[in-house]
Amino acid sequence: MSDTSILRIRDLSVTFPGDAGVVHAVDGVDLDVRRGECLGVVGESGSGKTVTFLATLGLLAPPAHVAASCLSWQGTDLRGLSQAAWRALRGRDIALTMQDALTALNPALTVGTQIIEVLAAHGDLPSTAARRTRAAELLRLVGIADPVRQLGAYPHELSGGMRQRVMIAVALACGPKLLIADEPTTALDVTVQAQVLELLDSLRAELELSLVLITHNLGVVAAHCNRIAVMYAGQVVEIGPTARVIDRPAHPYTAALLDCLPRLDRLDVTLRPIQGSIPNLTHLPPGCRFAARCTSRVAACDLPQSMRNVGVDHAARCHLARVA
Amino acid sequence: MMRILQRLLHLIPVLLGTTLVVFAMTAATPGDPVQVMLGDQRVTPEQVEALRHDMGLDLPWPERMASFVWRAMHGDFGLSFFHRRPVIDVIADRLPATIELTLAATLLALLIGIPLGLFAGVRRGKLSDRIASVSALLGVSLPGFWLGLLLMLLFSVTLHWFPVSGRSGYSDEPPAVTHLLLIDTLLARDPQAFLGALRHLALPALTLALPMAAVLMRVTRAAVIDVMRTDYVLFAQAKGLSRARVLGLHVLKNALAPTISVTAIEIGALLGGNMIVESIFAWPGVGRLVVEAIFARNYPLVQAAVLLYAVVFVVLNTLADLLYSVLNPRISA
Amino acid sequence: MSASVAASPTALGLRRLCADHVSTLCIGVVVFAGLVALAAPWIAPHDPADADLMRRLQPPVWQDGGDWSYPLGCDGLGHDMLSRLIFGARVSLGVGFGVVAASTVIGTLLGMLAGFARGALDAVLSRIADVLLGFPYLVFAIGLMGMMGPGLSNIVLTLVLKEWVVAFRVARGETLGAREQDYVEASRALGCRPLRILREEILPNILSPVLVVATIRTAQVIIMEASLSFLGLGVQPPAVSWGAMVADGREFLADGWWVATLPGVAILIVVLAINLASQGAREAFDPRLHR
Repeated sequence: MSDTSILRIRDLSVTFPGDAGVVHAVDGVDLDVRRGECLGVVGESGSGKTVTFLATLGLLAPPAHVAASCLSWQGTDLRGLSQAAWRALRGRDIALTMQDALTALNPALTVGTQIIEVLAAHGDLPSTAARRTRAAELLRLVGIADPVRQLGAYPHELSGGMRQRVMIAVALACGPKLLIADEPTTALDVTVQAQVLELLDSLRAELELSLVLITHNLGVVAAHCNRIAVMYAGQVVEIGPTARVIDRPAHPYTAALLDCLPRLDRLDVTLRPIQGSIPNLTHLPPGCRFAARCTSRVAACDLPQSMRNVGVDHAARCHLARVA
Repeated sequence: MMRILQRLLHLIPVLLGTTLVVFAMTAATPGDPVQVMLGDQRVTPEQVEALRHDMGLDLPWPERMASFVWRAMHGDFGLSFFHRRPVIDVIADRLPATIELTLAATLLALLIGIPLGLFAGVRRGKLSDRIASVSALLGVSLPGFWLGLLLMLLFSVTLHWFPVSGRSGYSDEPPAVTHLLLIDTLLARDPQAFLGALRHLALPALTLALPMAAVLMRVTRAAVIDVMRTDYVLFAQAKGLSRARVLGLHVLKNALAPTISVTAIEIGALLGGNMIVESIFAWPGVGRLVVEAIFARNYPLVQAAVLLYAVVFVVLNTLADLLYSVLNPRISA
Repeated sequence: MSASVAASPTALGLRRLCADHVSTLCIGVVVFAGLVALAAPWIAPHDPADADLMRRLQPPVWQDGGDWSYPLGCDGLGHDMLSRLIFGARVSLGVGFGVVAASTVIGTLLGMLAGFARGALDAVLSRIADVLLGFPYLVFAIGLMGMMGPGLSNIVLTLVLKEWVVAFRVARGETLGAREQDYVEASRALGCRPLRILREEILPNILSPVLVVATIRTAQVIIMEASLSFLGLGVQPPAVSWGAMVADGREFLADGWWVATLPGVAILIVVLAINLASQGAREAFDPRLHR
C-alpha cells in the first residue's frame, strides 16, 4: 500500500513552550496520504489536526518545535529543507486552504492580486496578462460568476461562500497534487457548505487531486472521504476505510463521536454527548488519553497504548480493540 | 466618497474653534497687551492709540473676536510692530527653512523608523529586536532639546564634523526657485553649496527625527507583531511566496495603516519641536521666529504662527485619515 | 491561576506588576526621585542659589580639578550642580505628577459625565476636546506660555488646559462602553440614581485604563515642562528646574560638558523609569494579554 502514498508522516511530534510547561500539541502521529484519495482527519478543536499539517508544510515557526522520524513528499525528505525549496513546494505541490477565508485572505489586497501572486511566485506564466487571464479562469473553475470583474474586488466585498471559493482558487492556482483543506465548511452556512464540498469533490475528480479534509464533522467525512483518521489529544487514535470505521469503530472515542451524531434513520436512539473534556496538553496521562472519559475503562488503560491492527488497513490505539 | 466629504465638513468647526482659541490667548496676556508690547519704548499717546486701533483692541470683544476670525481667514494678522511689516510676510519669509527642516526630519524618521520597526517586529524576542526596542524606548524618553545639545557637543564641538548652527555657510545663496536650499543648490548645480546646506541641515534634522523615528519604530513593530499573527500571513506563506513579498506587501501594507496616523500626530510634535531645535541650532525658520517674538512680546506674530501650526496639524491629520482608508479598504466601505 | 480566581482584576494586575523585576526597579527609581525632591532642603549639600565665581565650571569629582565637596561639579555661575539637581527634581516631578493628577481628575469627571449623559453636554465637551487636540502639544504650550509669560503657576495652568483632554477621551470612551454593559443596565433598571451608578458601577471599571494612560502621560508632561523651562518659559531664577539647567549649560558645551549633560541625564532616567514602569503596568493590567 505504501508505494501509492505521496505524503508520509512517521512519529511526528510538535511541542510549544506554554505558561505552565511544554504543550504537546502533536505526539507521535503516523499518517499517509495516498495518490488520488480523500483522507478525512477528524477530531475536536485542540486535537492537533491543523498543527499536524502546518508542521508538515514547515509553517510552524519557533518557539514551536517539530520532530519526526520520517516526513517525506514523493520520496523527498522534507526535514531540513531549505527555505527556497520549501517555497517551491508550498502552493506548487501541496496547497492549503484555511478555516476562515475572511481572515486567510489579506484584507488590503484585491482578489486578483492574491491569485496572480501565486502564479508569479512559481513562475508559471511569463506575462502579467496571461496570469490575469489564468486568474479569471480559476475563479470561473471554482464557480464564481463574472470572474474578470471580481478580480478587482476586496475580500470584504464578497460573501462568505465566495471568499471560500476564492481561497480554493488561490490554492489550486498552480495545480497542486495535494490540497489540505482545513475546516473548509465551518465558517459557512449549511447550504453553502454543501456547495463547497461538492466543488471540492468535482475538482478532485477533474484535477486528479489528493485531498486532506480536516474537520470536526464526522458527517462531512462520511460523505466525502475514502479513509478516516480520528485524532484525539495530539494522537491518531483510529485510522481506516470510511465505511469500516463508521460501521465498526474500534476505538471507544470514535464510537462516542458517532453516538454524538444525529441520525435520521434511527430516531429512537438518543444522542449521547461525551462527558468531560480533552486532557491538558501540558500534563498528559502516561496511558490512554481518552481513558478519563471512556465508559469501557479498565486498569490496563493506564498503560501506554500503541496502534493495533483490527482489520485490513484499519488500526486503533486501544488495547481493547479486536480484529472484527 | 461620503467619508471624504464628512471628514472635510468636520474640518470647518474644528478650524473655527482653533481660531477662537488662538484669539482667546490674547486674554491670557498679563495687563494691557499694548503697554506690554511697547515696553519702555518712548511713544506718544497717539501712537499707543494707533497700535490699539490696529490690533482692534478699542472694540468690544465680540466684535474683536469676529474681526479676528474674519481677518485670520484672509491671512491678515496685522503688523509686526517689531519688524514694521505685516506679520504674514515675516512668517512667509521664514517658512521655507522650517518646511525644509520638517520635511527632512520626517523623511529621515520614516526611513529609520519603519524599516527598523518591521525588522524588530519580524524578529520579535530575538536579541536584535531587544536592542532595537530598548533604543526606541530611549528615543521616546530623551528630551529633544537635550538630544540636540548632545549631538552638537559630540559632532560639532568635539569632532567638528558638522557646523554648530545656521542654515548655509555661504553668503551667496543660489537663485531661489523652491526656497528649499537643498533643492535650489541642486538646481543651480552647485555641489559645494549643496554639501554645505546638507551639513547644516544634518544635526537639526537628526535631532527632530530620532525621537519621531523611535515612536514610528514602536508603532510599526507593534503593528507588525499583530499582523504576523494573522491567518493571512500564514496563508501567504503557504502559497509559497518569497519572504520579501510576504513582508514587503502582505505585512507592511496592513501594518502601515496605524503608522500613517501616528506619523501625522508626530509631525505635530515636530512642529513644536521645531521651535526648540531651531533655537538651539540658530536655524532661521518660523520656530525660532516665534521664540524670538515671545521674548519681544510680539503677540500678533505668536498668535499667527500658533494658528498656522494648528491648521497645518489639523489638515495633516485629516489627510492621514483619508490615506488610512486607502490602505485599509474595509474602512471606506 | 487557580489560586487567584477570586482576586479582583486590580489586585491581579498589581500582583503581576510586582512579579516583573524591571517594573519594580523602575517604580523604585521614581519613588526614590520623589523622596529626594521632598527632602531637598535637608539633603542638598549646598544652597542651590549660592553662587561663587571662584568655583565657576569646577568639574565633577572624577575629573581633574574636582573635589568631594561639589561631587557633580559647578555650573557657569559656580552653583553646586548636585544641589541644583536635587532642587530641580521638585519642579520636574512636582509639575509632572501635579499636572497629570489634576488633569486626570478633571478629565475623568468630565469624560464620565459626557459619556454617561451624552446629548448636548457630550457634544460641547467633545467639540472642545477636538479643538484642543488640533494644536500640537508643544505649539499650544509655547504659544500660551508666550502670551501669559513665564512662571510655575502659568506652566501648570497651560499644561492642565491641554492635558485634561487625554483623560477625558479615555474616560468618555470607556464610559460609553461600560454604559452598554449588563450590570449598568441592571442598576438602571433597579432605579439606581445616576450619580451612584457613575460612582459605584462605572468608575471602578474605567479606572484601570485611565490610570495606565496617566502614568504614560506623566513622562510626557515632565518632558514638556523641561522643554518650556529650557526655552526660558518655565520657573524663573532663583528657582531651579532641570530644563532650565540644560539651557544654562548651552554656553559651556565646550568648557563644561557636565553643566548641560547632567540635568539631561536626570530627566532621561526619570522619564525612562516612568515609561518602563507604565509599559509594565499596561501589560499587567491588560486582561487581553492574560488569557
